[in-house]
Amino acid sequence: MGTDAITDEDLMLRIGDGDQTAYGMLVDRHLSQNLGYATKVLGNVSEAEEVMQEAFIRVWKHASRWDPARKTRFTTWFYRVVTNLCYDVGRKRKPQDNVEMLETVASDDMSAENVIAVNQRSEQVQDALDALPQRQKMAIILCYFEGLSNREASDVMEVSLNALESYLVRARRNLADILKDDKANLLKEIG
Amino acid sequence: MNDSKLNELLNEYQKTHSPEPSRALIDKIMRVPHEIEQTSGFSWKLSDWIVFLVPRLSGLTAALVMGIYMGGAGSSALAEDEIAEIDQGNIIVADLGSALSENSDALLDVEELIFVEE
Repeated sequence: MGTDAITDEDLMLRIGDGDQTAYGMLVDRHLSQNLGYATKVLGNVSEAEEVMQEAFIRVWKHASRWDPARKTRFTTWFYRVVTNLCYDVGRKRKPQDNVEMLETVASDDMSAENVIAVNQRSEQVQDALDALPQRQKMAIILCYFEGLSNREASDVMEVSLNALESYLVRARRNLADILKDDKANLLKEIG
Repeated sequence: MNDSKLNELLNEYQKTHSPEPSRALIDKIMRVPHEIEQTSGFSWKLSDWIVFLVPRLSGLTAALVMGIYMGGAGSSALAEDEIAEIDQGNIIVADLGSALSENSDALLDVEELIFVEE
């Protein structure tokens, strides 16, 4: 039986019994995806890394209390853990804190000008995302960037499907408005 | 801004904001089982105990109350006595009914007589 056949929920049960190999497999499956998620929520890699470390500490510590009878999917539960930790980090931030922004991963064939342009646009998108109300931001990150279905995203956010869809529509409209204004301001500055 | 332009910007942002985990982070996370003790299944949290005990105690109390209400030996004996008493009463009433029916012709005669005389 391949390792892919073992579900995350089975791995949690094994971790609950102290199985470190199962823990390693779970880290391998979920670290990268959730690090990206936390980075987008926080707009900051070092904070996202701290969040991921704490999230996996919780997995290890509380796996013995994992109850398969509840039928909760591990991915849903883990996204909730990461989301709550991101909220905690956001609350602890002081207003004057300057968060270290992410460096763009540039491919070799990109010119320096291109890298700067991509960086600027990405910063604009990050600012626009940060300007959205928290729930709209979460909805767009979960559905658009993480590729979760609307149903899964609504489970993570603990809201109804209708509410999630409403957040998504409003988030896209607000993002388009904010980014349109940014572009207009930029053109005004250049002109 | 139209949808396709927005999607383009979001895709670009997605590519630049999906960092690969660093070796240092992976090492830190993989050290967790060696450094941190797992929580045992037993919990000292009051809320856990409340969640565990309340439904069980409620069920037990409900079962006890139902048992006392439905299954008490004294009350069922009393009920049987009452039924026997009611049956006895019916017999007496039935007897009176037959007595009345035997004398009903005579009574009707008396009534008719009174009517004629008036």
